[in-house]
Amino acid sequence: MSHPLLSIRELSVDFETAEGWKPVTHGVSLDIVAGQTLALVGESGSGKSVTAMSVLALLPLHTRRRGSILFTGEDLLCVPDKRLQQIRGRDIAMIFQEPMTALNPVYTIGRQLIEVIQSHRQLSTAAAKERALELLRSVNIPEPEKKFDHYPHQLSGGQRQRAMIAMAVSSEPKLLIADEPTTAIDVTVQVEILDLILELQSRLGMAVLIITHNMGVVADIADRVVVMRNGRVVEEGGVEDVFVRPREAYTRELLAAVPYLGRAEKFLGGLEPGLAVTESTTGDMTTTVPVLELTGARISYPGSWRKAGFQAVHGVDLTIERGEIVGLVGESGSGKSTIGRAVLGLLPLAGGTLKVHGTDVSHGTRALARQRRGTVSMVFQDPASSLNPRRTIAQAITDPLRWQGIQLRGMALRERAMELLEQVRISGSWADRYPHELSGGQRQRVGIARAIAIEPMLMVADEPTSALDVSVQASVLELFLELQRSYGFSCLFISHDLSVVEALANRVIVLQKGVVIEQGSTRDVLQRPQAEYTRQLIAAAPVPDPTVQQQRRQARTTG
Amino acid sequence: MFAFIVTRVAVGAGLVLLVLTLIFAALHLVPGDPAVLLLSRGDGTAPSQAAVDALRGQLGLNQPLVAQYWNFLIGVVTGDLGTSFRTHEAVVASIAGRLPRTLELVVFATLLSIAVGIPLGTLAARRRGAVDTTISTLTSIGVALPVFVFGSVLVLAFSIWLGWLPAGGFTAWNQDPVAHLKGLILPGVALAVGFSAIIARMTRSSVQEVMNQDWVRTAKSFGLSPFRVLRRHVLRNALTPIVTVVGLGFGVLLGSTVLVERVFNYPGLSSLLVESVSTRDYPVVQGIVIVIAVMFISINIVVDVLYGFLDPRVRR
Repeated sequence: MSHPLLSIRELSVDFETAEGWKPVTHGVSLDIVAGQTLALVGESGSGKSVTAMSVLALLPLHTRRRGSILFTGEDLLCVPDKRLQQIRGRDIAMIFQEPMTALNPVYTIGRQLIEVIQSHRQLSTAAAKERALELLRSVNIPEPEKKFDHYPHQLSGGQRQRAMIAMAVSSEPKLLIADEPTTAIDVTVQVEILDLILELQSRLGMAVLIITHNMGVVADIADRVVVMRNGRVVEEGGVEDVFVRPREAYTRELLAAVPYLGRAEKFLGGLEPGLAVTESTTGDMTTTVPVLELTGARISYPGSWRKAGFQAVHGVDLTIERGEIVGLVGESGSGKSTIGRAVLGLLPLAGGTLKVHGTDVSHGTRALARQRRGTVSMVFQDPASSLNPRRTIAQAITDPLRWQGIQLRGMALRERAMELLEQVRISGSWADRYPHELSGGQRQRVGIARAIAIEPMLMVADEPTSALDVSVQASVLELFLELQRSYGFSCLFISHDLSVVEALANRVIVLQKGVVIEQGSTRDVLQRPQAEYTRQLIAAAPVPDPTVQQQRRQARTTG
Repeated sequence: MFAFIVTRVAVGAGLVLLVLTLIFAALHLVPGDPAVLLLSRGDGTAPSQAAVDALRGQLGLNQPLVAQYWNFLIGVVTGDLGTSFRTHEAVVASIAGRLPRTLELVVFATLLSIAVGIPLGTLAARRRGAVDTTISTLTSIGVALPVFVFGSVLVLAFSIWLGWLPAGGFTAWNQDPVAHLKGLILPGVALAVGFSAIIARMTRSSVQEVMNQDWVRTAKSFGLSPFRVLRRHVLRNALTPIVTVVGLGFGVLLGSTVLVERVFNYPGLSSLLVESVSTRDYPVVQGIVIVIAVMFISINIVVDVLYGFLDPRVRR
């Protein structure tokens, strides 16, 4: 093995708290060889980002690093600030997760590029501009001359990340550190960004350290993998070895929790969505009425007096039968969340009709809207911000019951809260805790408990597991399916993740720019997609299998 | 950007019209005859009918309301704000004599406040710890200290004890430029204490917020020098709320230099306003209110346009 370019040895990072130094990582060691791609993977709190940020000393204030970080023989922990400034951006460059906030909103892309170029090379502004345009071309930004004068908010997410990459490779660094570079980006764009990073890597001979939680991305681009957990390295090895022959139990668990598009039967213990057939439903005359019926629905966001409104959904037809889980998939801007909000009555329809269990609520009165909230409930994407931090979880869960006037007595509410908590596998003794005392997965279970409290006929779940780690996601989804089977509610499941939808939904609706592209049973749509767009989405979804990803990559580059 | 400025100016013009209408309405739509109201001395004795009739004729109150409103607007546009009851001088002329003095004082105080407040706030945000605590304490005192108390202390220290600066009064520029500028210093400093404290506090919180933004980390990661990061990626972005505070503060200062003008015996617009209110010189009061309102609105337009320059996301 050749001499490592970057060698992290026994790196421990501590954060200063009121109680003294609190360790975040414990003796992390890893090596990156020139030209190689190393993926640092782990769930939240594993210390992967902290380790990556340590390299260029970009940690927040009140932290300390111990150990050593050798870069071409120089210990970055001991170099003076001036030297560190030279290394930053020139020898080691970084790209970040959120290109919207990682770029300064008040300067044009071109100006920020020129600033970075001139910080490491004595170039006239004209020459720097020439170089900036060349870089924008090399990262395949369309119309580089025009985009040069655009501000970050005028570019799409993918273009912003390309601009960020252009800045990072401007000095042809030896090492590129990419911190979750595609997490905030749609899958079809993610493929392009990863392709771009790999292309630049081989052209410039850079080493790449990629930090990610997405095992599909790891399988796609990594040579070697380091798995971290709770601030320690759990396993290290070549990508084939880690995926095919993982040595550690944790790695195996992590891989098992990753939903694999096309292999849904192995996920969630083979549980299938459906309706619990109970006496009350079979004897009910209304079972034939769809729970939700959208016909030709158009939804707009109102403009201000100088700005035109924006139509997000153009004539969508959608039906959900009783006990059915319908997956609504699409990329950002497809209008999937907009539809979810309209179903709940949070947005008015600009046209078309919306029927909830046969009742037309498209132009509802307040009373009708109130009544709808007694039959439709919602699980939100981010459990941390969708629970009121000043209400205990028992209060949060039973608030909908009070609002709907279903139950007003304090004792009865408390009993019901305990019962609901037990159903989402949280101990009833936790009833008086506040959301911040819970983990992300627990908070989302509280969110689900709140949504089932009114025993809804229809539940809208908007990306309920996107903010969760994969292992937590698997357990939350499993719980969700169990509850769906016992309560028998119908569900509109909104997600960008095809593999999650495959495991959960009876039917799938594919949405693009506010228009339904394709719909049908999950099996038909995902295994025999008719629309080109659906095929693209499926091909872009990374799967946790290096061999498959390798084949896809070859097919892309040759075809 | 041009369309942006045009809309802001148009909105401002609309606001001015609204303010003028309100002022007009305040005088004419309240119950009672404005002439009687204007002539009454507050001791319960009714003014003579002859005097009332004369005033009605003088103010054009015999005309229909719409015609009066129209004449009032035309008067404002052509610079005719009526005649002072007290001095029988044109209102525009008496305002024109006082306005530049107050404007000069306020501009000086504002520049001084910016020059002191922004560096102080930035320092507090960057250094934290003891520096931050000291600056925060000082600015708290600065905000809380009444202008007349601090002004009196200044007079005591710099004119009575040290004898460096005049205790008050006003010398015209063409009479003696040095004395003119010397006369500005103490009242200017007295005004700037509170204002710079507010700017410093705003700067501190704004800079602190921006320092934690992702793009600042990005700038650092590309090896820009700490000074460059601070100037181009922190201060530049932190400026927006500071501009708001400066704009608002400037407007408020225009109408509230009364105390300072009193302490330093400085013949500015505010003292004219107070004199006119106490002598019921309504045309002058009305004229000053209009001038201050128009300036306040203009400053807000300037602030809005500055926003557009500072933050491209505001522009449409």
